[in-house]
Amino acid sequence: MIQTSKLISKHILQFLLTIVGIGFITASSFSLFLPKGERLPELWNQLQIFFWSFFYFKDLEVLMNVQELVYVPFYTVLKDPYVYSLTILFAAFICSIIVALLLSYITYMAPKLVKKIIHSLLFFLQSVPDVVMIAGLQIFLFWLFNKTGVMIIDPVAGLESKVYVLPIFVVSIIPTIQLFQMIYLSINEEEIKEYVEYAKAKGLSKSWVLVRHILRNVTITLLTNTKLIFWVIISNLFIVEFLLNMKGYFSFLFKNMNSPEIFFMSLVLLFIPFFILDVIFKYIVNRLRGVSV
Amino acid sequence: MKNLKQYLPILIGSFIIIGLVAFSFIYTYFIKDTIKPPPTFLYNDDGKMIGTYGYPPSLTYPFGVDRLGRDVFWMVIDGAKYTIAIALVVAVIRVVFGILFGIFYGFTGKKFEMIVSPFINAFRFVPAVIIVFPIFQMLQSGLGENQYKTIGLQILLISFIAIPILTNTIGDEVKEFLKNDFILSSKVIGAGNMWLRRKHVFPFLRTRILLLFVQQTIQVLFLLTQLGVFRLFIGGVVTLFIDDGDGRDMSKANEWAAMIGSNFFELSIDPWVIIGPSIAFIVTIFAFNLIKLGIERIIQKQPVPTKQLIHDTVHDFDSLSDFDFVNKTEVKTDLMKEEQSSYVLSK
Repeated sequence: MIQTSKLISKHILQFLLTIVGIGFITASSFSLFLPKGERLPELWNQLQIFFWSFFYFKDLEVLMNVQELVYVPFYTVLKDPYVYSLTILFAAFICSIIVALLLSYITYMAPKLVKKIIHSLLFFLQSVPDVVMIAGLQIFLFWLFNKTGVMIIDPVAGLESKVYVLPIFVVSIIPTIQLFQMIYLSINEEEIKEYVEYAKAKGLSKSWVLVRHILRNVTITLLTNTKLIFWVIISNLFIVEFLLNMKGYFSFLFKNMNSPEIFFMSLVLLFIPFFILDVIFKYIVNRLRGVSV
Repeated sequence: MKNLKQYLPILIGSFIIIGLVAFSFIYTYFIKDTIKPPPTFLYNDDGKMIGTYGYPPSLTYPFGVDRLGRDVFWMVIDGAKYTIAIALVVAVIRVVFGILFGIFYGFTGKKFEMIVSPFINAFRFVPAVIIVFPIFQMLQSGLGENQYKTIGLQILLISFIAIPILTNTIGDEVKEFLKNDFILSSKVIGAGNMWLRRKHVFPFLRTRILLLFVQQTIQVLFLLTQLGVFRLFIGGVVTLFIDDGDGRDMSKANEWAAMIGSNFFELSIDPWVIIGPSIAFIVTIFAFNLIKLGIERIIQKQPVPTKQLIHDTVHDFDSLSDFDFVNKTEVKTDLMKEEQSSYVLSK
């Protein structure tokens, strides 16, 4: 009982500290280039505003129309793009995990030549910046449309419509490659261990050993590195939303660049689901490892 | 021969990078003045006009010509030195400070870590572009006072946003390294933290500096493309006008990221304007990736292949006949050897 409460308080402390960190980053990026005497007071001022904005969350307002000065409550405006972007983020995350697992399964089972081809292909794909990838995909889609008149995926979001397939696809390419490399590396590390050899000696098939035994241990590596993957996905989606003209969370953030407290609040809201996932993953890893928490 | 094969990725990678930079310098100092600008109108063999600026790629213009009548290929070559230089400089600053702070961070206790690491975590959730954006805009609007100062500030900025995370990673590695047994024995003998840093931690990190440096260079190149999309260019900005009076911000230095970013909406009109710098980016990052691969291979020295374990001992004793005892006379010395080896293991 004492231990759990200790653990919870530790997580809460970490949570609060990260929020303080986010506040500090936003405040300093807004006040760094003010005239010399005003920097520190402005920083302090911003931090205070951030602190109080938690208590007046319902009163936060966003300027919607500059000419007519229309203010709209913050939480009503953010809700739609927030849900939209988070859907894409998690869909991309799940997609990249599934694809990476499948890919590493295929690579593990495949003959040497195929292994080599997959590896060199991924090595090349690793060197393609996301911006270039999006541009290339768009050019390809346009070209296809011009040639055949078939629009597989609408490459640019319209005024009202929401695109899902293309952003999820683009966002998940780079994380998939990274995840695949991680998984494949740890599969190779597990493969030389004794329990695998024993299982093989018992006559279990290669894929049975992989699925039933190795993957269980690989999950630990996978889950401990999710933070990195989330980070990549977030910064990718930021670019993708801008380029595909999507009305998601990040374009909302981009529009409200000049109101620090809205900016800060949105970032905190982005952080919350990822923090919860992180805690859950840590718990699962500890359970898998057999460490009693 | 085996050595050469090991160094092959590094050699090819550095050859591409050095070649690009050298070609870029040769262009600015020697070739630039000899090249004629592309003609305003293009005629076919019959003398009929077939087009004006915005030529698609052809043999004379491998990457095409943009709508302002500039040859994209030579722009890319010209921009190579700036792009690569920016990436290298930023990477150097990042690695130097990251290692400096990382070494100290590695020695801090658990309580310190519990307070600082969530704070650093915040940097992971705010994309770098977002942090940089307001500052870059402010710098770009206040341009003209001192260009070198602006460029310096921009470079420092994109270096420092990555340092907290880098410090964290290096610090964690140092912490892991400090768990080694020989550190403990060194401490028992009476080594202080400063001594450990100098004699153990720094030599351990020294092998990794190059790897970190290349990794950071690749990351900076990625970051540059992202910044370019948001029209945040390092260096001066020129506004060029196309005939309809529509101004467009361009980088003065033909830096690749800026070339992609400022022309992004040309995508459906004449895509070759961004394909050229994109290819350049891919080639450069690929070269750096090759170098990275080579360094990783050398550091790991390839895990011991299983082939060595299955060692056919028969051929070791070719001089003996089939039914001789191999170690008959050396029983005693063998025991000695075993003792020695166990001593070595338990060190």
